[in-house]
Amino acid sequence: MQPEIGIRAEWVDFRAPAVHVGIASMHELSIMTEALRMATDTAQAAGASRVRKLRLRIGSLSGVVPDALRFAFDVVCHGTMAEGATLEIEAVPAACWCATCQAEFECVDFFNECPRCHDVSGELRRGRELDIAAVETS
Amino acid sequence: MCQECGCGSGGGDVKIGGHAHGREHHHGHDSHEHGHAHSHSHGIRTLDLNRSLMEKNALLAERNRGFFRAKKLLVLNVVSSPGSGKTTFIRETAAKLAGKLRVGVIVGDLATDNDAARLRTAGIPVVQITTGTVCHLDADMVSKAASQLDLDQLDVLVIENVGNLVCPADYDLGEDLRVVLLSVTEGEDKPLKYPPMFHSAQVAIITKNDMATAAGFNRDLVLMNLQRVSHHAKIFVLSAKTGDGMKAWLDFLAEENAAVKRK
Repeated sequence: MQPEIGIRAEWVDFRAPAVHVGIASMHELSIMTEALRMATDTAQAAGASRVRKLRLRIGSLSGVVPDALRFAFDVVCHGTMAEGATLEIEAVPAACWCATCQAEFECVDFFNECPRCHDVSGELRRGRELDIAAVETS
Repeated sequence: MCQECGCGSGGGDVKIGGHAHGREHHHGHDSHEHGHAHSHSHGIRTLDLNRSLMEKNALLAERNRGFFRAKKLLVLNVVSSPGSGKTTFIRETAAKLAGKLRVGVIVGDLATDNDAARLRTAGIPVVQITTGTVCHLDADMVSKAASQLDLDQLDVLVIENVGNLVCPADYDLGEDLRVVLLSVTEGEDKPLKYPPMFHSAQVAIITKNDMATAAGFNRDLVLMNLQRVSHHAKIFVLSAKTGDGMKAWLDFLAEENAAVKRK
């Protein structure tokens, strides 16, 4: 289910805009496609015939919406060795490093005030994760 | 190692973890739909990967970066919402640099080549990428598109990304600078609504400043919001249409270009 990518160096005449219906334009779909590729490559290299479960690790500031990933998962797995597999998403809360306190604190933004000393920190330690943690095969 | 199914043997680079035998581990045939006259191994195994999903794009982006560096090209990845004025901004930048720096453009859109046509009419070398349903450009698309431009004839390569403040944030294209545009009609809280994109940009440009008064634009508020999310970003306020504020941006580009040429 690869979307068509067209590169056109030379266009001569005006063309009517193409109409695309149906597939949500989400980067979650691209990311899930890549997760499935990594999972099936790993499973095949290990001699497995099925992917039963995928475990992802997604940071709260990664810009990726877990629900959109779940939606994309069902779409990309259809007709592959991962059809019917379950998706586990481990949410990673974001954390900043406070240099004054020499400690981490949980945050919801890229730039935050330390709840202890109220100094401002932009040094993000966690929260940008977009990882595939493990795959369960059989 | 599991005595029954033999998993744990082989596997190459794959580390086989989670294989404690106290956990559920089917060796019976009841959980399979197919017949079992054969004797292949079918245990459940957990294979640890712990790899980034952006790994492939990151590798391709680094390859692009090395290639562009060898060509001594300054590469910009221009991102914004739809309608922030990317195309006009790029066209005016190229026009005002004419005779000093040669600019080429890669344009990404879901559909149509209208933006490319607008740039081509202005005499700028341009390649259009139509992504179909994909909401962002990735490093592979840029690599393919760049091969259609005569890069040896260029100083600056501008990549006009798909108008979208969400998805392109995660995709490194191999650029030197990520430039995010925000027009005065969009609302001062946009940096707070789309922090990953604004945080990832090295340059933030407030466009359509000629309309600021009509739009009731609060410049101090937007600057404060930008600094909150993107404290490291270099900020320019300008109008590509009137040319107001363009000089500071063009001087900055000339400096960045000189830095790339020295590398």
